[in-house]
Amino acid sequence: MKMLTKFESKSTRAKGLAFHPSRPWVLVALFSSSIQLWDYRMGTLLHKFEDHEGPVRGIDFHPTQPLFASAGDDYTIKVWSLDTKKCLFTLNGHLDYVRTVFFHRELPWIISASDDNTIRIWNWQNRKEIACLAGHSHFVMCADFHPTEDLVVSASLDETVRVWDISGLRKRHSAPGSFSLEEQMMAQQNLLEGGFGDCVVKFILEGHSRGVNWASFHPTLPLIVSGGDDRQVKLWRMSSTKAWEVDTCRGHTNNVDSVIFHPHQNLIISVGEDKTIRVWDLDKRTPVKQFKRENDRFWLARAHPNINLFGAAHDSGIMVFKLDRERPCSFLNQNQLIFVNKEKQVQTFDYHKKVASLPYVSLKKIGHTWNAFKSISYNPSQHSLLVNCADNQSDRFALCPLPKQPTGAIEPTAVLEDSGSFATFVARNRFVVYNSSSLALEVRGLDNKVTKSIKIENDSTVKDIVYGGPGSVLILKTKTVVLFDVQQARKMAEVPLKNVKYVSWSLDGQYIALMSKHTITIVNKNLEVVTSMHETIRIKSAAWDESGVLIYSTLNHIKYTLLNGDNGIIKTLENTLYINKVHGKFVYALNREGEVEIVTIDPTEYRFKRALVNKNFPEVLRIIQNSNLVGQNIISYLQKSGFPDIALQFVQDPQTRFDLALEHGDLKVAFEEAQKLDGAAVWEQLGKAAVQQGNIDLVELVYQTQKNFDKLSFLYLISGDLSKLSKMESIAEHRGDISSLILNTIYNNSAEKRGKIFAQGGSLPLAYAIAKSNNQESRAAEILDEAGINEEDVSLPSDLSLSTHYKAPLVSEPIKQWPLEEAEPSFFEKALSGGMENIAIEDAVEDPEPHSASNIMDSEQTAFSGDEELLDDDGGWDMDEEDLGLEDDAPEAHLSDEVVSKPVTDDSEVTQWTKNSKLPYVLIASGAFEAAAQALNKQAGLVNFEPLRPRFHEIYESCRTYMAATPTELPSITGLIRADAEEEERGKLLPFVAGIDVVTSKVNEGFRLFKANKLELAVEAFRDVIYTITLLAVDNEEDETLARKSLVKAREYILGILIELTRRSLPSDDVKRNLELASYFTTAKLLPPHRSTALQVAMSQSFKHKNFIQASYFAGEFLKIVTTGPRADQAQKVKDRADLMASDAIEVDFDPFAEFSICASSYTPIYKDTPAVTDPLTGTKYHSSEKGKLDAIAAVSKIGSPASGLRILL
Amino acid sequence: MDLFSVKQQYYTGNFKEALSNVEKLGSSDSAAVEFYKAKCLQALNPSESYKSQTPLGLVFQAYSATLEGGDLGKLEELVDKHKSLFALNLWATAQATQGELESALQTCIDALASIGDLGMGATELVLLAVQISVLEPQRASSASMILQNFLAAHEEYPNEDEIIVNLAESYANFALGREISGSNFYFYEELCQTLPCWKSQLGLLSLHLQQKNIPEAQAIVDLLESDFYQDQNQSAKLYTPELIANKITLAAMQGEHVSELRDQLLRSNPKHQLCQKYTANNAKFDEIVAKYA
Repeated sequence: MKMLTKFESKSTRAKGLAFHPSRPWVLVALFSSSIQLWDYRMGTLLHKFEDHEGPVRGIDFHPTQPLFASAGDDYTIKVWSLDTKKCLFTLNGHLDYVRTVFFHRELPWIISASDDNTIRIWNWQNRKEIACLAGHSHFVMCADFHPTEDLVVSASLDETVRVWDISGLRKRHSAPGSFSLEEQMMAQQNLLEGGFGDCVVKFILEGHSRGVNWASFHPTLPLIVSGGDDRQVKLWRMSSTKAWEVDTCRGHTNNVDSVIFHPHQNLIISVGEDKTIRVWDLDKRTPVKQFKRENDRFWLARAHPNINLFGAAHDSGIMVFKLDRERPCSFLNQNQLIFVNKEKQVQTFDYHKKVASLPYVSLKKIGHTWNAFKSISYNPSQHSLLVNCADNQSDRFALCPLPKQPTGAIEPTAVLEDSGSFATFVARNRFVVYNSSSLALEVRGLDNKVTKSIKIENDSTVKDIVYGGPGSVLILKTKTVVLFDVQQARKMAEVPLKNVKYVSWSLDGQYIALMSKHTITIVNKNLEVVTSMHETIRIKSAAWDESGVLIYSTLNHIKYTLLNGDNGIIKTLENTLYINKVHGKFVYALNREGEVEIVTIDPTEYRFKRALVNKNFPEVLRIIQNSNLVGQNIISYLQKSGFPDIALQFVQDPQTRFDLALEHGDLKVAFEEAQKLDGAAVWEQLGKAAVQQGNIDLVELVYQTQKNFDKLSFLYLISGDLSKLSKMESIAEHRGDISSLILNTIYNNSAEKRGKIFAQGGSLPLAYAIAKSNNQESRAAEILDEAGINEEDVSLPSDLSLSTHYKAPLVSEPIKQWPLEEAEPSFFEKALSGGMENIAIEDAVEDPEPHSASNIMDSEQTAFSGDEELLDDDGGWDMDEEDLGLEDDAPEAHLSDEVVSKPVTDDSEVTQWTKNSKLPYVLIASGAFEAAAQALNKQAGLVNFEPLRPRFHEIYESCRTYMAATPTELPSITGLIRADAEEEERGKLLPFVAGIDVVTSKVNEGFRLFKANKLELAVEAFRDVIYTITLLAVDNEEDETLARKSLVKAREYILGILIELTRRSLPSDDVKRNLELASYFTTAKLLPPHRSTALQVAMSQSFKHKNFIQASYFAGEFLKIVTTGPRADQAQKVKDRADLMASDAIEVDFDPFAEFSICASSYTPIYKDTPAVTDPLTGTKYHSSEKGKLDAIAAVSKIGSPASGLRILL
Repeated sequence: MDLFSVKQQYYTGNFKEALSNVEKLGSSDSAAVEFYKAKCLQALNPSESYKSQTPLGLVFQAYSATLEGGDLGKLEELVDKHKSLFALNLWATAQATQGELESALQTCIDALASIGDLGMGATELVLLAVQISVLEPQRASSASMILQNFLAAHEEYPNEDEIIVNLAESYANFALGREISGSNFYFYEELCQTLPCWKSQLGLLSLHLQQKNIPEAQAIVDLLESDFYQDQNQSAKLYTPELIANKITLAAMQGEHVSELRDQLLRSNPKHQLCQKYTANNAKFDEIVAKYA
């Protein structure tokens, strides 16, 4: 059991608290006289109620109305409105401190307990006291109604607990009509006497040896629990006629101030002045757990009426907490959810059928009774479960095989329990366990034996370990998240994120959502952060939908986020849900009751946003057309995201349309809307936009509409429209706008006119100056006449000259439109103008069936086969011609290239296969042999196909299985075998691919034959390797690299063996060639143990034929590989002897220090810088004379033919 | 007439048991009984022709003759005269075995369209129609359509026909690659529990192959090659070609060479789909070799 603190308030001493029945609110009664209202989810203080004088002790919310009651040392009970935050009225009557106050659950009653030795019941509707229960002989510390029956329980410092029968009170107050007048009179009388007779003491429970501070009814059973200053918690049972003490829980070391029953579990929770909260087992009366505060005495414990929360008031505030986690453990496996329900039973939920199974087993006996499990991990191949639990001291886990069929909550058999944390399956037959004492990750087999122990960097505490893809785990530490490859025992990636608690893998295994309390960070599979966001409300769970949108739940919402961080609310939740899968519009989640709930959501908004982000415009259009997606929210989103043109499609409002159109630069729409709006500001905006785009026609139109004459003139001027410009002059004249007219005369260069205007306006000097400067002498004279002065009287500026500021126009035609590059209409413009009738909208939206991250594990069984076998080591061949008596001892390098083949794709109709991939492999699998041959010819120069015939058939046949028909006369039914049986998306269907392990096993077969000195067979085997790789398909680069390396390896072996075979067939007198070929054999790039064999051959041949220098070289090379053992001794001897002789008897064409390759046809060296050709398939080198011949290595390709390169990666 | 156990046995390929169940029913003039009886006899001993003078009996004799290479004309004539769903079933089967898939399918569809209610033999016809459809990949999807239409029209069919419907569904799913690891797999897995026999085991084998469950597939092969199954002479003889065909698949999936197995199949049943495809592919390959040489 774990106390999970959800909220803490800091204040002075808190004596009481109350939970709101539906909202996340808690009231705190303070010793300092005030009452606080907190939102415990957000951690904010909502209000302070001040009206009491002196300490407030009792507090309670009304179960349904927006009311609460408080009571305190001022002898009063106050009833408050939550709406107005005001005290509605005060109930007076008590004669001393009031300790507690509670509402009745259905009747309009309040019960209070006071130091005046009484309990009073009040009707808060008519604000009258209706009963006064006297009998206690000391302070009454607490009194409350029974949740369902007409009973009251009270606790008093008189060392008793009393149970009162108040059924009479109910009778009288709830159905007055059924009483006769006399009875009512009687009742009235009774009331005056303090309700005597309506409320009678039923039981007096004596047993406490000091004052009793608290007593509570059990919610359903006839039980009472009490606690007192004798530091004891007592359990009482009652029948209809008597009550008796059942047992005592001892442990508190100071006064017990409050004690309650757990509303749903058989537990008792008590608090006391010893600063502890203690939890007791109701059935056994044994302590289960205790929590201690350092300095604060506890005064009250209270359970939330509806949800699984508790509150405790203490000396410096309150705390809201949960006893143990409520998140049901679950594990997603393909189309199934394996989960543990509230009864700790394992069930599965089938997402296809949408039904939950019967329980498989009950895990009640695993771990501690009251502790919820931390997590589970499911192994589909073994159908077993790892359950992580914790007792009070340490973490434990259990490996529990599940029965094949769910038959009910039976006891599991063959359960294996051990200590260790975070047990998680990493392969079919392996799981990891974290050993916190040694800080090591232990890989264990199904027998729980540790096969490997890996130290983990101890930079921060490991908080959890979860599945991290095949053979890997994600280690959640306090400060970082580490992706750890268990198989290779190394850290693959790390991301510094604090306190990540939950992890959700995207369905394609590409992204991971890492959740901490308030943050979701999305990283890719290399733990590189893609996006991160903060939530104020606690994040609870997340699952990816099939299109890569993360759907997550907080305490009260279902939300989504896209990979770019765009997010939003999808739905509000009443109860917290733990999402485990999203499929289309269905969200599958576990609730706190441990049941699967299917929530229907509207995915339109996030699908729309995702389509936008992905620029999947057909999808966007489809959504626009098919759903009513509107609202300011979406429009502003579109605007912000740079899609005003799309936003336009949603909007009717002219102003918004106008703004969007301007933003998008769509002048046509903007003009249409401007006409509707017809406002000066709008026109001005449109004019500016039109100027910016150089749309002169529109600018003109706008200026005309707005009667912007001067701007219009200037527009005509700059666009060179002289005729209109002159019209503007006449218009100005007509309007009598002198300044405009003058301006126009300047634009038009009509000096005469301007002069006239000045003259008319009485400004003769200016008119004269104009005439003068324009050489209009007669006009100047006229003006002088008019003014009656002589030319001599006028002194003109000295620099006056012929007006030169006017230049003849350069453009002959007025510019109508500034030449801009024609804009490509956007997808939407095209689509909406009907120019895209053929958009295959339907095709664009497919619901891809995701392949679950967990089924990656199935394909991965080889990774932990445990037998990383080395090829057995037994050295070279029996060399019959020269037994030097050497035995080899070098271990063979292992080619245990364990391959993790990821299921990628695949399936059905063969035509779809070829659509999805054009690899030769896929073409062959589909039966398109000719196309495959053509591709191979182009890619790798293949010309001789005969050797590939078996592979062609085998590939074709490996993808088909046959089923007997009914009746058997009919032909068998053919079923195709896909790369991934679960794949349903047609665009991903591909045929079965045997994978790289076939290559590996064939290579190993070649090695075996080589070692056995069956060289002809070895050549065949290695050729088979090459044929297999030629017609291979792999789905990842790692495999591709391995395949290409294997091809080179096979080539080297074939070349070496062919040389050796040629050497062996030489006549015995051809010593020179013999030595040469033996030397060339050593140049083949064989595995070291095999090369040692070649070196041994060359050494012994050279030594035998007295080529000592060469023999010494080969012996030296040999000794580099084989360092100890008889063979090494022998070589050392040879070397020593040869070094003494230090001469070569026969000159051979072999210089170990020169750079050369061996021509695979002539077996002679091709030195660097000599012309050579290469085989396009095998990469074998030949003398250029060999061009066009068939490659000697694999005998399928033409040497030196042009080729694009073999393709094998899907 | 309760044909439940007859059908259970017949459709799982246990013809001997089916026949003995038919015989337990005593003499009957029901066409269904005769149909199953004749079918069982023929499966058990193809060389011995069925003798009966009932109209269906005559049709059946003509049908047997077509399997021996006789022409379809006579059968068509008889079926025309004696139009029953069982007769049409035989007629369509004969057409299909002779490669006239389109007309065979048409025969089924016409027959299914003309039955008003669930007449005797309609379910059997649906099964046949589904199989004929899936023989040609491009028509495979119509198989599930036929089945769905039938099920939509006959929400309730007799309990004894459930195995036929399930079988039809499994063929459609198998050919279309649906429910490979789901209901189709479970259908065969369950069948192997309730009626373990050659046919159900082979079905499960195919489903394991489709899921690439190599060890599981190998286990079934080993099982079928064990004495227990090999001693079931009749079934072993009937179904060994299917076993070999799937052994070829299994070996090829592991990258092994399969020519020996294939030769074995070519000898035992050259008409097998695998052999036919092999022969066709081999001819294609000859052309390729010649073209690039």
